[in-house]
Amino acid sequence: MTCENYRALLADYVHHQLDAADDAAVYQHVQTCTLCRAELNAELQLNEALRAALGDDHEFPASIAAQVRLFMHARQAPSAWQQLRAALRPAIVAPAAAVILVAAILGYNASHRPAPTLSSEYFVREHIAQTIGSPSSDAAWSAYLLTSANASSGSDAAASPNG
Amino acid sequence: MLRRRPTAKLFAAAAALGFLSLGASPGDAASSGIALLRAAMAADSRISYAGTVTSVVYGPRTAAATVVRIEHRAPTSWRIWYVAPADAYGRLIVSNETTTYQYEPSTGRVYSNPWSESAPPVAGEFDVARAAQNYAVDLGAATSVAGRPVDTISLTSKYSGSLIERFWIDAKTQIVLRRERYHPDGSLAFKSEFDSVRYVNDLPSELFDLSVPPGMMLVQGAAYSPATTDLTPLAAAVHFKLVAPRDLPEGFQLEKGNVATHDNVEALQFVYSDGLRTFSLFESASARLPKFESESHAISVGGAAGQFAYETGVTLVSWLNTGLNFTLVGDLAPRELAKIGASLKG
Repeated sequence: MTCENYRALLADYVHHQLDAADDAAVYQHVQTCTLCRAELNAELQLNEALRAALGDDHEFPASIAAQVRLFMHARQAPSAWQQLRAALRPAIVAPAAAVILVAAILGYNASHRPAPTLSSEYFVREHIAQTIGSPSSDAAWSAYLLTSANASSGSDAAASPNG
Repeated sequence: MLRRRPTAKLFAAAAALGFLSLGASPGDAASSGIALLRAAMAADSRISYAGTVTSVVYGPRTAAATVVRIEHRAPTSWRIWYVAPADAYGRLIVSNETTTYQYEPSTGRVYSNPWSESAPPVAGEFDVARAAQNYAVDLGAATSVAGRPVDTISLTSKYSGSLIERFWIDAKTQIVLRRERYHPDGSLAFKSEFDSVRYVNDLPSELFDLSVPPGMMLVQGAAYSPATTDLTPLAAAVHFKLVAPRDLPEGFQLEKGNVATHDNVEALQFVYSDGLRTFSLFESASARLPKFESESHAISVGGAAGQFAYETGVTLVSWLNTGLNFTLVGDLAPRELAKIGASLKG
């Protein structure tokens, strides 16, 4: 396969979408090809930029992602001048693509985002937190609910030894 | 904090003396019931014990239970180990009534919380005088729980005549060994009972050390907005006009309020109580009904289409009005909450 072929596979490689043979082939190629490794790093940066902008729980539209990937990968056969430019391209195109994609996603989300809402679990938990000391509360059950909220929060905020 | 007032000990002594004159007249019985209830609510500040408590919360179709092993060293040390449900198995709570550590062996984390947000599974602070204004407190027949002789008291609403709660109180120590709460229709809402109890005075202080074992990480528990009884700043803190109910169920009054922002939604919470039961009114800047965890049903709130559900032992009623979401959560029936909601006015 040529570098062009490998680069067309990089996005899927990053998202673990390749079969084992292609995955191994891409891995081996980027170990030795400086340009393709730079492309891979650009793809990783793009992913990080998206994750930072959108958070882990946001899905971005597949059509937009596909267009950006096409934009990144659609190129003519490289001339000598283009090969020189290609050396610079990941540093320029990938961030630009990331900016375009982030803007597109944010715009998409803004126009499609549902009105903010809270869950019934939130209301119950807040009610219990404010009334756990009252006689109306079954404290064993209430303490279970509140401590379960802690356990599922995944909070890693450091606390002082004295709380 | 749930620290008992020193005067509670005097009430406990008075209650003990009160037993000597039980049954003289209905008035005496009522005052003895109140005195016993007062003594029971203060008993854990002077009595140390170890035991196992099972609590069951009843829903319309299902029930959920917790089983905990409690070690309590009076007045303020607690060690509570969850045996059930399965997702809490092994959870350990240690508290000195100022700070609570929640140990989660499965994740290697220790969550630190203020005591008020994670009180132990026993009786909390109880304004007995307030409850006695709204409930008839009657002594019942003596029986036994966990092999201990107990006295029973029943709390019946003075307005509706409904039995709301019963307590089984250790005749010697005044520790509440069993309690049952009932819905207004008489069905059981929850019960909590000692399966076994042992009164001890030799629990080592090391059991109640707030320390972080090697290999575990101390982290901050979930934060809750501090409540205030001064509601003026609350109105200024939100970007919408707050409203209040014109009609409250008899005996209920506003206790406190707070403002919080969750998932970018500003929410105001008011807590109401009649001394025994409570409900919260939430006003939030959301134009959508909440996502219900359990099956919800349609209900009309002053002409507005709302939904209600029973979740984890409480009733929720939620509806939209003037671009805001209003949600009531508490111990009352859906129609009672809907009536409160219909009376909201700015």
